[in-house]
Amino acid sequence: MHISEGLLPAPLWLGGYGITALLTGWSLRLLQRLEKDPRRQLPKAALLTAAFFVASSLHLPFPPASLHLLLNGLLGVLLGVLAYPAIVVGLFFQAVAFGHGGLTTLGINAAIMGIPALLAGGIFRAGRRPMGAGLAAFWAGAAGVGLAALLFYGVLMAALLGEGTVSTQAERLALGSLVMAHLPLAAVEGLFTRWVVRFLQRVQPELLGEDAKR
Amino acid sequence: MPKDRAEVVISPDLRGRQFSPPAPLPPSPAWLRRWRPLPKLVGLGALMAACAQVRRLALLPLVWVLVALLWALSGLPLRQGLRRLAAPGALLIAFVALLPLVVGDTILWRWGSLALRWEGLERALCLGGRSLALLALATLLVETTPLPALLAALRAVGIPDLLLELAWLTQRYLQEIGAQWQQMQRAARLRGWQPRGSLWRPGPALRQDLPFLAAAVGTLLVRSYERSERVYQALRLRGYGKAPLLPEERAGDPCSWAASGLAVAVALGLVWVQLGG
Repeated sequence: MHISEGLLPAPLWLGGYGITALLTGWSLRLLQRLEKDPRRQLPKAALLTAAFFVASSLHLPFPPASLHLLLNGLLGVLLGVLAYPAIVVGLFFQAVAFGHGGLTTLGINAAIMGIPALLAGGIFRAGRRPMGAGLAAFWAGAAGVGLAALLFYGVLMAALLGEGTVSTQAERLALGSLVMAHLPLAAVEGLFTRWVVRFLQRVQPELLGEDAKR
Repeated sequence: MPKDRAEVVISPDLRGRQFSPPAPLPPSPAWLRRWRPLPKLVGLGALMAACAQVRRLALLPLVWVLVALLWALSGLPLRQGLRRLAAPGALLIAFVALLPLVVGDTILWRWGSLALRWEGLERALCLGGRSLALLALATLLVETTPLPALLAALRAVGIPDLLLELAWLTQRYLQEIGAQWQQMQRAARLRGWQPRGSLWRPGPALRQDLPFLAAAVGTLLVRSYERSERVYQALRLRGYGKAPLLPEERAGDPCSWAASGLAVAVALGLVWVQLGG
């Protein structure tokens, strides 16, 4: 779910950089306010970012092709406010190493993945007590993908409508149905997030507990 | 001994020593590699921003001449560039393939219900050409600049230290964690595990596969977390937090800034022509 270089008009990708600058600045400022030594969190965030970067290469068969997991909801659950900067860094390396996404679209791609990650973290922290960690993790994972799909196609539609490329109702319907096609993926990602969180509860609850206190 | 041959006089203290022929000097680095990171970031960034604005098909040859010139100055092999340009993303390929078939009224060629339309073809060429030019410029930037130098240049333009340190630490451990993940997958296959489920037909096989994969991802996260604690302690012992992790970026030489000025002027010219100047 990356927007490639050159697809978007300037106001959209510049706006994406604006949103990313604001949210990254807010995340880092909040981290500095909450932690006595904010650098203490950086190795953890960096290694988890690297682990997410690697694990998101996991492909699930979906004949005739395959789909890969986004894991932005899980990133929000584990990293809290640091999820947004971690996504900026992860997308930067994806653009640099593989040409996925791009440098001009880094800001808008970070907003598409990072805003749902922050919300997923909020859903998990707000819901883990009343719903239980498993169910809260499911909704966090599903919301991460669902909202990212909505933002992705919203941005794409804005770009295409602005250029007059998508004009007929049938073309809009085709793009809208692509969003609907992501709903099963949201359910799978929700289940996956739930299983990972339950695994971490058994093996390393500290990884969930420390961040959940924020 | 012929008189026209120069006589080599060996001083007494050097007699008996063996001399190898002088090694050839290493070739001078390509010009784009000598362009200092900060001015290069400014210059190529301006060109990328201008190329992203191009909507006129007539401007694309100019953009590509510019990219080809910069590529020639980079000393990068052409094969490397073609390999990078071959993976621009499924979304771009889908757009470039579909636009000529669905957008526009001027039909160039028809085969049954399929029709190739001029307006769509024009947009596809513009979109594809612009995207590939941007990818090529991004490749030039990252392939001719070492990552620590690029991060230091980003700091000089105001990116926060915490974000850059996060990027530096991530790239430091990315390959190791990637190797660990591959090792885990290989070990699972050697123990007889094979993915059998499919999202197309969710059944018992997929219900077995997904929890297994979730446990594998969880294990990777736990190992990474435990390692991060050790990394932090090691970094503290080496003075992390007291001294900057990234090198200070030097301002750059006048030649580098002149090249950046030229790149910014070309970028402004492109924008001016695009806006109808």
